Amino acid sequence: METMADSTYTVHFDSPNCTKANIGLVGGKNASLGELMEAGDDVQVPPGFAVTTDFYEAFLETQSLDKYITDRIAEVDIDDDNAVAAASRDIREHIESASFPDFLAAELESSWEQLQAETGESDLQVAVRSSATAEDLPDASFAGQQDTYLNVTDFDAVAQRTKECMASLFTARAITYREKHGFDRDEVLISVGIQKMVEARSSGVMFTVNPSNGDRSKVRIESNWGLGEAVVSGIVTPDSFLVDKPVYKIVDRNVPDKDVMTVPTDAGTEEVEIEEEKRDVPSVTADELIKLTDLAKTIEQHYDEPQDIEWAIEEHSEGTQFYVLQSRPETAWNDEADEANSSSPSTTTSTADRILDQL
Amino acid sequence: MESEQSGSELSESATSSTGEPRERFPFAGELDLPAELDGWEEMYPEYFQFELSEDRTDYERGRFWFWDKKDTTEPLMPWDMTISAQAWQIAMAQNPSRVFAIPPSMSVDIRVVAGYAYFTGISVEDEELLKERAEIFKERSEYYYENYDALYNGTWLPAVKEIGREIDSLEVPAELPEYVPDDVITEGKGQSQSTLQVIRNYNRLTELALEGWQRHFEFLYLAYLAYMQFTEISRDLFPDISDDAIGKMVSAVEADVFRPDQELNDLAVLADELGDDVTSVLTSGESPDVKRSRLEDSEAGREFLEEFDAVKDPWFYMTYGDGFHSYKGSWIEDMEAPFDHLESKIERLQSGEELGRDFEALQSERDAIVDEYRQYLDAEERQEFDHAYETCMSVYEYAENHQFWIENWLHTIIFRKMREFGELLVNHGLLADSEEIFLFTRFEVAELLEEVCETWALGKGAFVPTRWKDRAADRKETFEAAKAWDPSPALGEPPEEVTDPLMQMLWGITTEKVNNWLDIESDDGDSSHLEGFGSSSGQVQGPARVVNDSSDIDKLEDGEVLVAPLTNPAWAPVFPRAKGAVTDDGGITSHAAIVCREYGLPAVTGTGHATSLIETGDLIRLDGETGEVEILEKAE
Repeated sequence: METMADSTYTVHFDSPNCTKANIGLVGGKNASLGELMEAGDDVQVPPGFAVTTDFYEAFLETQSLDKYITDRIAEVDIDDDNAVAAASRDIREHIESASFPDFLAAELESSWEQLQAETGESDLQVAVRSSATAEDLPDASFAGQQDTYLNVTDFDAVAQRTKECMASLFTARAITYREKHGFDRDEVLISVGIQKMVEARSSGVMFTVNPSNGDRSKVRIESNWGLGEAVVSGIVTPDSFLVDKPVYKIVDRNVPDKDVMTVPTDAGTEEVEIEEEKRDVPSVTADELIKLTDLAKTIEQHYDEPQDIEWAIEEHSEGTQFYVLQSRPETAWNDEADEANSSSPSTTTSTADRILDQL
Repeated sequence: MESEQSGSELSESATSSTGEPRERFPFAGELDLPAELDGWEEMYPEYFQFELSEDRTDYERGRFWFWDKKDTTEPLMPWDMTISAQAWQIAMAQNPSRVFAIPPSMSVDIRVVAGYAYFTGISVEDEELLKERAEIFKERSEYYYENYDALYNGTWLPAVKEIGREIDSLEVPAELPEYVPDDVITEGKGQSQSTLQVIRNYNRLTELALEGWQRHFEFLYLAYLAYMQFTEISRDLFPDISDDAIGKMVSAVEADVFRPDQELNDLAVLADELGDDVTSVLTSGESPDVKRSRLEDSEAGREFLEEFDAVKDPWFYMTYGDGFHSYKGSWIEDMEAPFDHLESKIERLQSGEELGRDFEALQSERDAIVDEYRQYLDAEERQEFDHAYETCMSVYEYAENHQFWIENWLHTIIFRKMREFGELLVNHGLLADSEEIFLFTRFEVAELLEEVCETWALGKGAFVPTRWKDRAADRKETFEAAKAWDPSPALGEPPEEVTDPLMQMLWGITTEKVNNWLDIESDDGDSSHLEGFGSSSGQVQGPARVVNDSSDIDKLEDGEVLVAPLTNPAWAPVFPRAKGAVTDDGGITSHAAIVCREYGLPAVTGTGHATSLIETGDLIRLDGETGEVEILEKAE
């Protein structure tokens, strides 16, 4: 990983530079992946790297794109939607058709090859995603449309999709927003994440709190065969387990017939029917539930508040690999907890009172 | 066991609220007792009998009675009954009714059938009375909870030890003197101090025994209630939490009932350190007496014996069985058990095994689990949880401690003193064997001793009746028949729902269990599947070893699953051999459950009838979390 550490044009997710402190360099999404890796040694995100805002700026500067953009926007009446749309089209075309200068292309290729080596996969498939620097702001529309391209397989395609992600910073809506709110162009930059696509045997979502009652001692794990989209979008009723975190006991389980799963295709993903004999089989084993519970606990502890976590399990001949794809605060019960905390604590009832309540 | 004898015919009673005829258990008067049990009634006081008179029969038939299998797995001898059950009838009943006024649970009424006790819980329905009792309960229980340490360590334990000490010091002559001593004359002591002393000391013994039993119940319900409020608050704060997880949070309790086993571990380690002189004797398979005398021969052996004798009182005052049965004996009188345990402990040590439960590991595992649960609470909830937990942990040890001090230590002393009175009766020709004294009630023994005094007073060569000996011989037979008889699990009409919290906690009597009994009685039950309380986690399978009589515990072999009416703390030293345990009785807070948790033995308790369904050698599987037991393969 020497070369990556030496430059700030690309940064591996497990690098100490890929953290929240460097959102300006790697963007929010990449930083959060790096941050996830910080939660613990067991917490693995699918391997990948960030193409940084330094890369982006060097690209724009060396190819004179920044000048073009500034001039093109300057000549537009920002209240004229049609004019802005035309400018957006022009700018995105310019970015997408420009070439990376050699030193950046070399840097990107070297990181790509390193990722191939790291995953041991020559036919490596990656997802290419934009990761804007200010996406945490309340109105994210200024940051473009946040493109994601799945199943990208060769270096040329990676380079092209990277440019497309960068270009996505210039949607008409984003340009209008930024101009009207007086953002300088260098206040909102874009980084791109290049990340291995998980070949998930099973995946799903877990809440580190029981979503139905806010009990924080439980983790609710939902799981289906294949990729997680079918679970997230709700088109399938997933397997569902409630695990008591301190003792790892499954206190509630529901394994329904699962008819549909998401699988990768060349174009992205699609939903296919699950084979008859796998439908009523739990898509995770008891041991895997324990491991997922451990991950949930580690991640929750790291962020110090209940989380909503996307995860996936890859199964290879040499064993299973657990991946954490994303973790976000679980909002519903966090708000509730904040309210409860702000209310004044009542006096603790006596043992006798408590017994009387129960008798 | 002849299980066909009684209780098997079900009756259809009056109709339930839904208009459907409901199944019920037989009434006491409908029981079909074997002929050998004829006349059992005269062995127990009249007030324990069912269906004495019309008004009483009406009262009794209007209630649901369950067999107290926890305490009378085997029938109680008449004398034992008039101490234990007598104490239950008064000391146990008065604790919720008159002492702490536990609002919904007034008391427990007791009857006896052929030496087996039947209980019925009396609850309080009246709103006004409930309110009145709640006020009293709040004030009194709070005082006890707040001052537990001072009340237990400062008052209770010294008082109990004093009771034992005084009983021990009561003088019982082996024989009354030929002529009264001279000082009766020279000091003008009156004329028959000898007989007065016998009568006085027997009266004092029974008084002290009853006082000990008053102490037995002093904290008992409060301890269970403290546990209950912790369970409830845990369920409240952590919905769906398992019994097993709650059990883990209250495990690793340093209770006195585990001390005998710990002392044996320490002695085994000492023997190992002292070397071959000691270990070769202790593992020689000889009788305890031979081992002792051989140990006297060496320096190291004497050092070992010195340590052994230093801990034997109180820690080897451990009864064989549950403590209620005088005929079972105690370690201190029959050293077979402690020496056997030492033998296997030394062998385990020498093969490199660690002895005993790793207490610190258990404690730190427990604390880590408790800490983690606490972490998931907000400040206010945590405060509530901590208070409930601390109360539970400080008071709950009592549920285990009292069992050592009363059922084991004190009973050993009481029964030993009674045998001295038995000797006196034998020496004066009224009984053939000192053990026969237990075949008579506490009131009859007073008559017996009175009669000893009479025959003595009548002078040398006075007529000595044989009727006590004859009666003892008859009763011995009846008692054997009682042991062979299989009582009905319950009598009368079951409630549609068992709601009494104390019934559920202490005896594990739940609605499902009662229905289960009814199914078994009517042969509707599935005979390869049992359900009970998941009391100690772990899933194991292995051949079953059914131990109905505690003296058979030695037969337990490595890797077997122990199946017993109840587990017994005196068995702790053999637990390392067992793979798991299944019991007929005992809820999640029972001794059976606690002992298994403490020793990390996967266990399902309170299955109702494991010992009648499972036979030694059956391959069984148990799940200590779900409470399920499966008979996989019947023995040949």
